[in-house]
Amino acid sequence: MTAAAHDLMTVASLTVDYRQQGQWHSVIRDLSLAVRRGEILGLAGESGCGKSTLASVLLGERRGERRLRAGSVQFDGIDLSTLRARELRRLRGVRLALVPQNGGASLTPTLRIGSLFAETLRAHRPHMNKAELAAEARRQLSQVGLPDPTGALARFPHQFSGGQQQRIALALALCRMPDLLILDEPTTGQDAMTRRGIIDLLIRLRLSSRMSMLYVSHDLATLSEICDRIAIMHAGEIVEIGQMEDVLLRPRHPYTRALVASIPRLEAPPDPALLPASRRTPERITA
Amino acid sequence: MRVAPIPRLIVTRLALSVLSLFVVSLIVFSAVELLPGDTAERILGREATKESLAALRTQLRLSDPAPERYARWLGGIVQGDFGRSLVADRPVFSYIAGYLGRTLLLGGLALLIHIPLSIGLGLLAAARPDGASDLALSAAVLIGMSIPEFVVGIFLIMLLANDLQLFPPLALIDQAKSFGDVIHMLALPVITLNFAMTAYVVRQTRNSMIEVLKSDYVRMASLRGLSPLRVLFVHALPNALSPAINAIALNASWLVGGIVVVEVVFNYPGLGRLLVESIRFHDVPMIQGAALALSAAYIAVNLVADIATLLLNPKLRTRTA
Amino acid sequence: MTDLSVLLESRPRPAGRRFALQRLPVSAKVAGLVLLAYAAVAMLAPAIAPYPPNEIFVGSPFEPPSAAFLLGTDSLGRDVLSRTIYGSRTILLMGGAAAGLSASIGGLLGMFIGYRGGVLDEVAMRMLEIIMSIPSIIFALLIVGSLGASAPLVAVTVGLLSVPNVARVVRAATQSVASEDFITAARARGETSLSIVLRELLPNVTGTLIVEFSIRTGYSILFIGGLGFLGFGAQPPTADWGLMVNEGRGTIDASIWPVAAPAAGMAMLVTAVNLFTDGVNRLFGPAEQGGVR
Repeated sequence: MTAAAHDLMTVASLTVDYRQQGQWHSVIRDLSLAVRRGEILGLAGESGCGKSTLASVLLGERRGERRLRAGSVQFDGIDLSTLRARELRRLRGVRLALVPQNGGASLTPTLRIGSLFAETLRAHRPHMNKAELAAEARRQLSQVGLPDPTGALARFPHQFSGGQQQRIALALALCRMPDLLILDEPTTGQDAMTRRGIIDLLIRLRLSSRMSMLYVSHDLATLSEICDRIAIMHAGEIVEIGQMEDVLLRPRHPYTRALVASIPRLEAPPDPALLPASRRTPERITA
Repeated sequence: MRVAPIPRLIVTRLALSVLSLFVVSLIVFSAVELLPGDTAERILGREATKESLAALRTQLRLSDPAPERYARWLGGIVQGDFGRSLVADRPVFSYIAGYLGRTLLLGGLALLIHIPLSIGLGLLAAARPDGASDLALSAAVLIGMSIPEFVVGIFLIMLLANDLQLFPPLALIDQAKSFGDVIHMLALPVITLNFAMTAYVVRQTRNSMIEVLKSDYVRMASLRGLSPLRVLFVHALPNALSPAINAIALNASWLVGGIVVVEVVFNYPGLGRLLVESIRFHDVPMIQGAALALSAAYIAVNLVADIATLLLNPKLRTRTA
Repeated sequence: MTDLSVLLESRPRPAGRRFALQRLPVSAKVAGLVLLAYAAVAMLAPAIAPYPPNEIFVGSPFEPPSAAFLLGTDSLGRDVLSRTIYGSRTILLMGGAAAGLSASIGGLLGMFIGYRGGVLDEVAMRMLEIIMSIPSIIFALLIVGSLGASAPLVAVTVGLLSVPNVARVVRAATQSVASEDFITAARARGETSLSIVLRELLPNVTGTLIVEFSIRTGYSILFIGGLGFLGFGAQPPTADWGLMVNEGRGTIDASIWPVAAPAAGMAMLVTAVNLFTDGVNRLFGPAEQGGVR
């Protein structure tokens, strides 16, 4: 039981089925996983392996065409599958947040950025007044490096570039400083600048707070930059999990080996000078 | 994507509307030119002598070329002079206003019911896509849309007016004594009009709501811990409405045509019935006045609908960065 | 970039189009059968109808349904069943002609302006927009009222009034095809605009045209029915459904059949057309052309 003290999110023997044309198919099979307090856990695997389904289950999402057949998902000792909608809502945004892959599409087109922040902040702290809400939103937007945060509040999502939209989505997820941040391919499809900015911000956050993160991506190169541990997912199962360098340097499962072999070599390793001192040197990762 | 600012778009639409009205006036003028006989014969009737006809023709300057007469006619209309009705021998203008008002009343009431009803049904259908209520609704609205409004009207009269005696069979609004009377009399025409209009909006609302409910931003809104009501009414609904509003706009303009038949079915003294009867009587000034007023109403409804659609779409409301 | 194969490139032949009818949803297939039945009844009217449509049985107005008159007789003593059967001819001929007219003229116009683009397109679109901003029913009443109502005039008027709607849709479909390689190739081969429109573009907008024809058929039938009801369609003593409803509605208390029979015929016909439209729209509609599914 000492593990539970370390672990923020524990998944035990989870099996998830999807219904397709009247038949149930397993997309996650007997999967166990734990996200420790204060760590960044990478979750890698190709598209269709069940990564996004797992992320969705961890957020407590329920859908008609999906069922949890076996196992449990516990967040800080709370079983998510037994929570009532109201209780689940109290966790969401506050303790448990998601950064989606397509930030632009995750922002409601008819609402101004300011309203998106105000409603999110107010959902859990109803007494905040307008000035406090705006100040808090501005603080979050400047933290993610959005230019002109004050002006941004009055604008609509479509008035920002794709990279800016992604930063806004990140700021929205961070605005209540959740205990666990789930990132679902947050840099996929972004330009190099945005990607760099988001990754640097995550590294800073990790150093300055005790926030845990689950970083879902198919891109090992990105994961290798920021994760402490990594889990390799294949066909609905975790085939390998361990410290970043162990997995990358000494992959045991054939699938992991194939995945590691496919890391693009053309991409220059990150400049060690730019990395925070706490990070391991990149040579060891890509050697 | 090049997006023009709203004021410019509105000015463009406005200019287009004025142009449309001008084209309508040309069409109205040329159409009645095709009627057999000329104005003098119509005014004086069959027993007129050649001399009196010739005198009237000179007086009315009927031998002037058509463009000249058109300009004179249009000039009069701009000043509110629509001529005198040949049948009623009264200024057309005094007629038109009252008839237009009654047509707008009927159309307005129909829309007032139509908007919440069809959007509500659309949302109901979207709640459980392909569920029993969805399928039943699709079938019902499809059939409703496929039955001509004159058939719907006649059977409503038979069933609700003659057999059950719930409503009066004819909308003789001149005899209404109170607002309750008006509603009571207009119930059947309003139901008839809604029969035809509902299908399209229900379908648009349903489809776009289903799409929107699957969208990333609705998912994220609930993942940020917002209440289900807020997710539904602040995040989903406004974004699902745009196709529904387009459909309602189309219906509003359809209404101007559909109302003609319904007015005839229920003997309702509106512009549509006035137009139909004046055409039967070859009452040229009245035809022109009624057709112009009805077209103006149609164009105005379109203009309002266009602008409403524009204003409700934030992508058009603001320029892209 | 002088790849000769581009010059030889011919338009793609979408696979499976020939079997498109088999891929229609069940509802649309049923609707198609109903429409075929309507067409058969219309064509075989003289053989099926018990009596000629205008034969008057003196002394038997408002007969209730009986073995002699299955749907009774109308106010003049004419057999309602026979008139309803003949009425299907009138509406199918008029509706089909109107829809065919709008689909062919609107289709050609849409392909032409969509292909040529530029100023021609701009001007034509503005003009179509203006025409569409005038209510069709007023247009139709003015024209038919001034020239004198007759079935052919009504069909032509209703057909022409739908030309802008068809042209707009076909123009959009054409624009999405016009920039493709096989069109460039045809132009490089020196084909004339007319030949490109007819031989290269037409086969690629056929789906859109079928959908539009179907939509316009339903619309025209309702429109023509309404005009007939107002007395501005086919003239007495023609067996026309709209007209029959109008003639019978004053005496509906004496007999419901002279109204109910043509009304039911009309409702079922339009329902079938609409269901069929739904089906072909799913096959050839924008979703399919956009390659969504």
